Amino acid sequence: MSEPTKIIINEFSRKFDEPKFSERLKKYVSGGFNKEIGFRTDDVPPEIEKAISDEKLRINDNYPLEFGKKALIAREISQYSILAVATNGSDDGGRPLICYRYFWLENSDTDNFDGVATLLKWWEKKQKPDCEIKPWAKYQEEIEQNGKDFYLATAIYKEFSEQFENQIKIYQKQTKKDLDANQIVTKPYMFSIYKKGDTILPNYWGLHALALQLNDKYENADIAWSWNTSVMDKPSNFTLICCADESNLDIQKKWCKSYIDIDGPDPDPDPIPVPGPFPVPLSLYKKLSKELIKIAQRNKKLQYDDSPNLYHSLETGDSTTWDYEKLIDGTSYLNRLNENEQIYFKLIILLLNPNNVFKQTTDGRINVNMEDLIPRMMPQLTSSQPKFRGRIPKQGFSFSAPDTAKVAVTTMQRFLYFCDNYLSHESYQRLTRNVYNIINQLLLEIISSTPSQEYYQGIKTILVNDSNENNDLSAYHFKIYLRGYENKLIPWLKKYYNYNASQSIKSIEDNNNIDDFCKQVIKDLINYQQKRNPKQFSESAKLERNFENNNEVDELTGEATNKYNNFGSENINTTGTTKMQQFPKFSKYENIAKIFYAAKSYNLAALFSQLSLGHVHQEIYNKCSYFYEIIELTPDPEKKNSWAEETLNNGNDYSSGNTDNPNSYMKIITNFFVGLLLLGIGVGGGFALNRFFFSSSPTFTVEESQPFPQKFRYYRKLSQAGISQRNTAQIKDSLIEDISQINEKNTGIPKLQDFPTDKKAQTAKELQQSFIEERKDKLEKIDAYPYIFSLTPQIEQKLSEEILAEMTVDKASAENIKVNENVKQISATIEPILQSLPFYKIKPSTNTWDQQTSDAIKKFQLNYKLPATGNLDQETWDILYIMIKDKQVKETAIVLQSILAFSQTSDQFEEKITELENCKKDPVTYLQCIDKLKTNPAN
Amino acid sequence: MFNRFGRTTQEIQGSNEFRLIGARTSGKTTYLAALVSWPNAPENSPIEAVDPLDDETGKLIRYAQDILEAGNQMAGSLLPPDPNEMPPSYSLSIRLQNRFGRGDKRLNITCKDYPGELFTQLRGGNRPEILEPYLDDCAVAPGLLLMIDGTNHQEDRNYAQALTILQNELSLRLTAQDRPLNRYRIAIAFSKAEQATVWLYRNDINQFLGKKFPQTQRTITRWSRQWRCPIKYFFCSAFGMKGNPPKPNFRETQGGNGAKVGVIDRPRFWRPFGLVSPIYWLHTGKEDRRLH
Repeated sequence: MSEPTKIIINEFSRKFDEPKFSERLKKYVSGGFNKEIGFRTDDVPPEIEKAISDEKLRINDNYPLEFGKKALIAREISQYSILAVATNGSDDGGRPLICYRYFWLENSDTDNFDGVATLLKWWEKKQKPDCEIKPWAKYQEEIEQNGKDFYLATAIYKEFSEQFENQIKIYQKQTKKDLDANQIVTKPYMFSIYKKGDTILPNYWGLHALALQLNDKYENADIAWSWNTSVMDKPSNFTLICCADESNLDIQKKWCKSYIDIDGPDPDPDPIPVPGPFPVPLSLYKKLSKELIKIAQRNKKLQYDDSPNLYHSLETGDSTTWDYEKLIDGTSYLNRLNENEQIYFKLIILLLNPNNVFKQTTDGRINVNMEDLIPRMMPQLTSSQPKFRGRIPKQGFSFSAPDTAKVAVTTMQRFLYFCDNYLSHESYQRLTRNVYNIINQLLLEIISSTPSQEYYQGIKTILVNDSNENNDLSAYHFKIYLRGYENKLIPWLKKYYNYNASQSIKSIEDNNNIDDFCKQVIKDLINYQQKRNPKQFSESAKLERNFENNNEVDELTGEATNKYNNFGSENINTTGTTKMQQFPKFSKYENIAKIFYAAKSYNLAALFSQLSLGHVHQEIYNKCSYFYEIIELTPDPEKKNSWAEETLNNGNDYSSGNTDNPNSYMKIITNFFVGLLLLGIGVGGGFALNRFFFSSSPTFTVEESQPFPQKFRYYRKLSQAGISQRNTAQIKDSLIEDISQINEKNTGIPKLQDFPTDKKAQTAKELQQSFIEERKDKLEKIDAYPYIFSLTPQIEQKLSEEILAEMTVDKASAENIKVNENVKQISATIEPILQSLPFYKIKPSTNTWDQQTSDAIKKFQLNYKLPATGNLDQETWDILYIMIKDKQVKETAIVLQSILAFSQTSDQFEEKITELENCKKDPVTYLQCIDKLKTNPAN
Repeated sequence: MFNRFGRTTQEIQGSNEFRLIGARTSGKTTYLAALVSWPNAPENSPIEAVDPLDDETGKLIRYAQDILEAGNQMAGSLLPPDPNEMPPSYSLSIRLQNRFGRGDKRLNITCKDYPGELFTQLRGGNRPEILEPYLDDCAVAPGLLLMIDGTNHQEDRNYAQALTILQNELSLRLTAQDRPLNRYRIAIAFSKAEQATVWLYRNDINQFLGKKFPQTQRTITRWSRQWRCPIKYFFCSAFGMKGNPPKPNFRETQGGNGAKVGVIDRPRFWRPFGLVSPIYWLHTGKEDRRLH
């Protein structure tokens, strides 16, 4: 047996200026960058120097490795192999940097010599030496201690890669397909690492084996890989990149000109349980109590500086594991509060962390509900409703559920409002998540027991009913959050529910990201499908299994594929026929259907209606967008859907033209805010939240939105909050554009002069009628119209009495008759209109009902082929009313447009808008009033 | 469509290129990252937008998002291994509201961010050879933005020394190129102006100079007199203030050589100030008070 070949290893390190010893870090820190090739055991070949210079072995210093971890970069350069061991370091300013220790060798001429493997094996044998910032002398000292033998390695040959087949499989599994040679030239494959116990998978040996395999197969696939690295400076210089975590992978995907998209790692089989709850840190305990008490005591808008610790805790996530119950029970500060403030205090804590309150029993069922919970927290509330100071709605909940629940919701809304108002985004986000948690609990409450009608009504009111209160808080009803919850629930159902029962159950059982309510629904859906059509269910399950087991879609036979895809549609065709006779019913979901119907979530209303009743009311069916992959729907126009009609009759459908419904635009505003902050922050779970806030898959859009008022309020809110002009400018421009539609030549409001007439009275009337219809159509298409209309003064569309020609001021004065105020007002309003019509001239405005006005009306009537009496009757007023309103709206639009365009600051903008709104008070002087704003908008 | 408020954008003519130089940890790259990100601009700011013009500058935005907004420190700028290789140039476009009339003005600039190690070398480091290409490159540009850490007044003497050498070296090169010295513009920006020790002097920069950086001031005054070139001082802060009354939006991580080193305390409220002012001056030679 021949002696194994020995290879000499060389090394060099990145050099730093004047390393200094940091007492704080207990290690040396850099005094600045020096040369990339500093200390070295031998001259570094120019090929390697060039590779270093070309950043072929470089991690971006801005993205340090996880503290204490080592990253490896290996590549073959010409006849050399090099292994870079990277570790974290920092400079004297505390800034991060990457410290490198490079090991290299000259490849042996022997066939199959594997330089990188030789380096790896040697490195492992020498206890994985890595880089450390230290003075030059210490390097020299170390090398002397090591001696020459230290740098002798045993040659490794390429056969070794067979041992790593399993490792290679892991990589292959991640890519879910064969690695493609054509792409490898310019596109590195990227993987992310995951941990199984202490082992990091996939390991570097496997990565190297895969690189070898690719290199064998395709000449253009270099041996160039990085393992456990953060962000590479030039990812495209590599064949395989194994990132330390998903975030690094994401960053490199964006920076790298080309990459292979792969699935993430398999979920960690042994997730670490979330520890806690922990006692609130002592240092914070007192401060936090004080801050919470301050919130409890204050009714006005909170400031960030009022409660820095609280917000900071909420935003950094430290507080997620705190024991809030201790905080409630243990604080002596509570004694400072009056009874109501104590309640308030406790409820804020409930909102801060509902997880700690809604505890699970050993059998897995959550047995603490709102009804149990709140009296427990505030027993004094069970008998009477507390009186809060400030603007908490005193009424508006017309249900007889426990008062405590109402107070709980209101209080939470209030706190959310504070956070949102102050743009404390992270806090708001966190609290919103908690609200979803509460919604989940409430929905579970409905289905897990058979609640009394009263209790159900209580929950329904909490979730969907609108408060009649016209205040800030009414907009923060849970309804808006329920819609958000819907956006979360539907994707979950789509993702985790399939006809393969075992597959579905397996995927949801241990998934902590899915709410229990959703899990229950999926289980019942499976049950429903199994009972409803066992044969087809098993067939689909079989297909599903086939589909799952074959990674290659193409391997499915065309027939099978079609069958699979058409499965739903076959069902649809048979829907309502005799084939579908039995509909298993899960009556517990009827109440859920009602709730989602009331929240205008027609998809879920349909789903739960089908589950509970076995059919879907035709109206809901029409409104719902169809998704057969979850459940087939049976529309039934015959059967009356009493609850749906009931809800409609109660006026709870907000889709019918209520453009100024505060809930609807507050929802948009809220979503905008949360959306903005989600884009800004990359916190964990952000993506998921983002999905349910923005997952506006067109399939689920069932209601028309009225975007202008929302947009306008949103703009005002942003500008008041001093948000970047860059963000607001776009909205401003869009608002201006929307408003300009009003005065658009062809599609906007028609001119007064365009109001049609004809020689014949009959034809004129027809023309006018069609003109009015056409105008109505146009107005419906102008988003900004309802809002601008609302800014104009209110004028009655119906005349309370006919104003007779002989009731002029002169005559009234002569006969000593008191002129009706209404007559004065109307005459003053119509004069500017009459004056602006082209077909006659009028003397200067008198703003009274005099002979001149009556004559003008007569001319008007003649022109529009109305009975020329000179009396202002309803028929005349019908036309005049349109003209007056149109003129007011058009003028208001111009003024609003100019205010938006020329206001320099938010204060100025608000001031002008207030002035504009004030003009509305006096219909007589309205046009003059807004005219001032128009002529001098920026002053 | 009828839109009487349509906007037009005019490009401001002037010097488009300058070099950014300063000591290590003076905040040069952070300054640029904050400038390009331009977060949470106030409503009344005349700066409408700051846009990157190339991928390198786009990277700065990425750094700002990944690092600064996450409350971390940015790494020091790398000294290219090859002495002849220059650091990347950052190109960006700043859109300003027109002071008079409608429409916007656009300012396009290119800036090279020199690693702080060069400044160390100016004071007599052990690797003078790396200086040469940078000084040559610096002399090509029509302007220089000199960044000085406003909190690090202990280094006054060192700054003065480095600037004297810089003046001499640039003088040699500009003269050799037959370029008039009086056309070279130098903006001196004192960074970290959010810190109380600098903030207090925000309305009187000369008083600040006299008290904190007297030697630097003398050197610069002399430079200006000798070259007859325009020199102007500015305050800038890449982190800005937060709350009311305003406090630095800054959390100290580690004190180094008397300088304040840290991260953004409340990234959500990150609002830098005074960043465009020196650039505008370098570009146009004029001041815009709105930018201060």
